[in-house]
Parts: sequence; structure tokens; C-alpha cells
Amino acid sequence: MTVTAYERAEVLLVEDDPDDEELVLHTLLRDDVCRRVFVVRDGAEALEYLRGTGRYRDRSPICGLRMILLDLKLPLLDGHDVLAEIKTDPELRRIPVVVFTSAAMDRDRTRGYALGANSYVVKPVEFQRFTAAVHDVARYWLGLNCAPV
Amino acid sequence: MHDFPAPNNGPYTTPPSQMRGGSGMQARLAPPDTPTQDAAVPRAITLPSPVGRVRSRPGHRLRELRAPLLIACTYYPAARLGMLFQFPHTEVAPVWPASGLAVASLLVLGRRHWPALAIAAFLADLTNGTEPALSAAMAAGSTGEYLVAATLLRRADVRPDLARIRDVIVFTGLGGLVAPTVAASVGTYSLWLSDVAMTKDFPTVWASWWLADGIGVLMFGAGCLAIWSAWSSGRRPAPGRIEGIGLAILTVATAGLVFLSPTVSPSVLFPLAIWAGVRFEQLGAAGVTLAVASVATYATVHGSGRFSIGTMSPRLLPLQLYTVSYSLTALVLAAAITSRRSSDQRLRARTLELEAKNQELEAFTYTVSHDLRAPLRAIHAFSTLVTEEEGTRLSVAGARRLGTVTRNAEHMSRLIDSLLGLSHLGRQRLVRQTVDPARAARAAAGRLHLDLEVRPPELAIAAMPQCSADPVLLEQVYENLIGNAVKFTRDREVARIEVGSTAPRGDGEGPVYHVRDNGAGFDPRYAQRLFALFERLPQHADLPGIGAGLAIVARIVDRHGGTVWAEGCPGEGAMFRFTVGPPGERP
Repeated sequence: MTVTAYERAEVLLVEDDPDDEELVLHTLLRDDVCRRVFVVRDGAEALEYLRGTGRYRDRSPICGLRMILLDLKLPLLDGHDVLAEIKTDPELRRIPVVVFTSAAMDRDRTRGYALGANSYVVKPVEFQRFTAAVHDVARYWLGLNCAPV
Repeated sequence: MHDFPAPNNGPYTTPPSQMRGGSGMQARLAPPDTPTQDAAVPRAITLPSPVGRVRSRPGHRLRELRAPLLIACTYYPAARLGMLFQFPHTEVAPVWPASGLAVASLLVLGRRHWPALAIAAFLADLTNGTEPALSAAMAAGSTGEYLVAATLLRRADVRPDLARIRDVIVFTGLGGLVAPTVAASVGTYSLWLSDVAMTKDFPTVWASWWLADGIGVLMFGAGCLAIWSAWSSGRRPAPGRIEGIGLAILTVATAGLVFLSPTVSPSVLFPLAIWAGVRFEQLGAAGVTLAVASVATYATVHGSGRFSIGTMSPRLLPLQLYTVSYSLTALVLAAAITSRRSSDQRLRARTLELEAKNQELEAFTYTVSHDLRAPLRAIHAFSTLVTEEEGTRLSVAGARRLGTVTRNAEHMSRLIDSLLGLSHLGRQRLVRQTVDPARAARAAAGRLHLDLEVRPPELAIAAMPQCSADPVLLEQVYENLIGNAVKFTRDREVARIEVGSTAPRGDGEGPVYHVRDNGAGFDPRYAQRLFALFERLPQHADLPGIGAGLAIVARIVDRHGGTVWAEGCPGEGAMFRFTVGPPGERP
């Protein structure tokens, strides 16, 4: 569908659940909030993408990434680990990371912010609220928020 | 945890002339040729089936012989030790350590080892110059005493570590008072039969014997048991060796001072019993008692100290009473400290267990929260998407059925949310402070936007006494109760909701707060079921809600230490009443 060339993506979606992936992409496209989304399925791939290593070694460097939408429960490398890696990497730490997860536990939220998450959003179960959440998050980080130069 | 060896034993072995309990009179009964106490050092203790000759499984037989050998080899010297305490030239001892050792060894090693005691007792008497027949009779009496003591103590469920006050009391009663009557009776009777004791001396001899054995059990028995339990449990007293040595030196020095000078009161030794009991528990209590009793006995017998007044016989009783009370003080105190420590340990273990359970519950909640929500979201989202995007192509029945899927997913989502909320409520820390319930009720009503109702209810919030509660949770209670009232009064022409309070129901209780409405009410038979999670009365099935609101109210009130209940009749409205625990209660 709409996933664009990886180096020009505005949003990196780190999501292992294909259903959730479809719902997020559906919302972003339907509302025309963002068309340049790149999707990775696990934490290790996310870091490879961001750093241009591993299977992304031969591609040109990323530019214009404005938000990482990060699920917490991921295979290989857990979302918290990915978050920690991003926020301790001088090259990557400025990219806003929005944790987008089903985990509504206080503990996860506290840990997410402690690791440097810029926002923490719990995925609503009901579809209308889910799309509203995705829409609002994308509008804010891609529209209202002024990205660092 | 402790196994009780079978009770048996008993040794009363002294030759008539050397009876430990004997009084001055008894001394005169001694035959002229009575051997002296330093007569024979125990050496040959012959046991049946000599080890060297056993060919089959020698290791096994050796192990079997270990306990009886140990018993016999310690009993014999202990019996001779008793003779050291005898009054000079009287052969009367105020204490018989061997009895304590015997009872303790049967309790710990098993009653089946009584023959070892019987043999050692017999030999101790025999080597002291007593007639073989009399030695055998007295050995039988002593062994009987030890068996009776061990059996009674086992029946009474006395644990050998004497770690409970009850154990100390029962040990004193059965081991120190009841059981010694056996040896005293058999021994004295044997002496009388042998013409060693005369009829008129019978009571004195009996009493002396009984007391000496009883004190032996109490002091030396407790000491042996303390050493055994410290050794077997591997637990050493918390305070260090230096403190132990200091206590020992101070005890012996003070005891020496007390019992060498007739003016210093023996009560100055009691603080040492407290120190020993509190810091070193059973081991300390037994050690200090032993030290004090040894010095006291030795000094008294040799004519110094507070108790060495008058002739020998009257000296014994005060000394013995002092020894018993000193020993009991130390042992009971030690048992109290040990009980306290064990219950602290149990409490700590329980707390750890609860924490583990809590973590388990949290992990479970996490699973529910995360893993149940994801598929539910897919069900809801894709059924909604199909309805939205393909709805026109569906048949009427198909569209309705798909709507049912969507609706049920929504319902289940709310159930999960309530379940998580309730679980969170149980673990959340309660922050109590003084709260004005009327203010909480107004804040809750504000959040409910009653003015947006088609027919806004008349809400009357009366002034109420303050209470100690978590303000956020109390607001939640009012929000749920007022929200409930709004829901059940919607069909009323004029809906009235009244929030107020009444006086406490009894002493020490706080005021009773209530929320009353003139709505649909309920059948009082179901009053309790209203508070169960997801419980909805069938007649209200058409009203919105999932049946979690009152369960949450009940959980909050319960966490405050209060109670909640409902009163009402069908068609006549309902009143929900609750307390938030005793006034002034703090977390």
C-alpha cells in the first residue's frame, strides 16, 4: 500500500502485529495525515533502519524522520530496549518517540518516560477511539510540533 | 521439626549414703562403710555386643551404638558430678544434674535408649559402694522417672527447644515436678526395704530426692536441650562471642560475690538472667542459670552466702527455691523472646510471600491488559471497518450480526477495563487525609454533568461531618453512587437524589454516609448481590452499565476499613450507606 521509500519516511512505525499495523496505516492514509510511513516488525530491525546497518546497510541515510511510533511488546528486541538505544544514541536521540502500546500499566509508563519517551499513548480497544488517537498523535507531532533542526 | 525421642531413663544411682536429695538425717543413715564420692571414676561401661566382634555391616551397628554410648558416657560422670555438690560429710546433694541430662537425652535421642541410662545408673551406684540389689532398684526408679518424664513431655507436645513459654511451663511441671516423684518413691522405698532409711525419715528422704531430681531436670535438662537445639538448628545467638564471654565472666563474678558475702542480695543476679534471656535466648538462659546455680550450690554447701544459715537441711529449701525461680525467670524470658522472634520471622516470610503473590497478580493483570486487548481491538476495528465500508453490500441480517460482534467487543473492552481498574484499586496506596464528604460529593456530581440529563435530577448535598479518607477514592465512591442514582431515576417525573449522613451506629465508629434516590429501587433479597462484580439485576438489564460501579465502591470502602450496604424496595428508591472506618483512623 503506501509505505514509501525508507529514506524519505516521516514516520517509522515499529509494530509486530499486522492488524495494528493495518489499522494505523489505514487511519493515517484515510485522514491524509501522513503518507510517508515506514514499517518495521521488530526492535532489532528498527535500530538497523535508524542506523543504516544490517539489512539497511546499502541504503542512503534517512532524512526527514519526524516521529517514531513504537510498540513496546516486540520480538527480538523489546520496545524498552529500542527506546533506550535511541535515546542514548547522539545521532538518534532528537527524533521524537511516541510509545504506542496496549500496555496500560503504570510501571511501563514510568519506565517509558524514564528512558526518554516523548509521549506515551495507550492503544484504545474501540476502533473510533483508536483512529482518533492515531490521528491526534500524528497531527500533533507532524503538524503542530516544531521538529528540531 | 524436632523429633522426640522416646522418653525413658532414669538413673537414680546413688548409694543410699550418697543420695543427692538426702537430708542431714539421711546422712546419718549411711552405713559406716559407704564409699566416698570420689570412689570410682567411671571407666568401664560394658555394653552388650561389643563393637569389635560385629562382622555384618559393622558401620551400621556402630552408628546404632553411638547414641546409647553417648548417653551412658555422659550420664555416669554427671551422676558423679552430683556427688561433688554434696554437703561435706553428709553425702547430701541439693541437686542431681544427671536427671536433667537423662531426660534431655531421651527427648532428643529417643526413648528407646533407656537401657543405656539404666546400665549407667546402676554402675554409678554400684561403683559408689552400694549393694547390687539396691543399686538395681534405685537405677530402675531413676530410669522409670526419665521414661515417665520423656513420655509425658512428648504427649504434651513439648518441643525440645523450649522456644515457647508453654513449653517451659509444661517442662517444669511434668519434667521437674511430676516425673521425679517416681524415682523419689522407688528410691526411698528401696532404701527403706534395705533398712538403710528408717520409717520416720521416709518423708524427708523422699522430699530431698524429689527436689534434687526436679532441679536437675529443670536446670541441666534445659541446658542440655538449649545446647542441643542451638547445635542442631545451626543457629548461633545473634550477639557475638565477646558479649557471651563478658556475660559469663560477669555472671560468675557476681554470683561469687553474692554467695561469698552474706550481705549481698541474690536478687542482683536477676538482671543477668534478663540479659542472658533477651540476648542469648535459651542458650543464655540455661548457661546463666547453670553458672549461678553451681556457684550458689557450692557456696551454700560449703557454708557461705545468704542461704547458708542454720543447719544443713533448712539451707536446702531456700537455695532450691531460689534456683528454681532464677531458672524459670531466665527460661520463660528466653522463650518469650524466641516466640517473638519466630513470629517476626513468620511475619516477614508471609510478607515476602504476599509480595510474590502481588507480583504474580501484576503479571497476570499485565497479560490481561495487553494480550486480551490486542485481539479485541482487531475484532472491533475490522468489524467496524466492514460495517463502514461494506455495509451497503451486507444483507440486513448480516449487518445486524456484524453489529452484534462490534457491540460485544465494546462490552468486553469495558469489562476488561473495569477488571483492571478494580485490580489497580486493590494495590493502590491509600492516602488518607481529613476530607469533607460534601465537597467530594459536589466534585463527583460536577464530573457527572447532571445538567446535561434530559431531566436533570434534584440533587441535595447536606453538610456532613469530616472523615479520614483518600479524597480521590472518596470522590470515586460518590461518583459511582450518584451516577447509579441518576441512572435509576431517569424514568421518574422528578428525580431526587439526596446525599447526607447519620450519626455513628456505635461507639468507636464513624458517621454513616448515604446516597438516597427515589428511583426504581430493588428487591431487598438481592441487596448483597448488588456489590458483586459484573452482577446486574435482571430487571435492570436494559439500563446501561456492566455492573462494576458498586463493586468498585465496595472495594474502596473495604480498603478504608468501612462497610457498605444497600436498603431499598422495588419502585420506592434505594439508599446506599457506607462508613469509612473508625474516626481518626490513619493508614
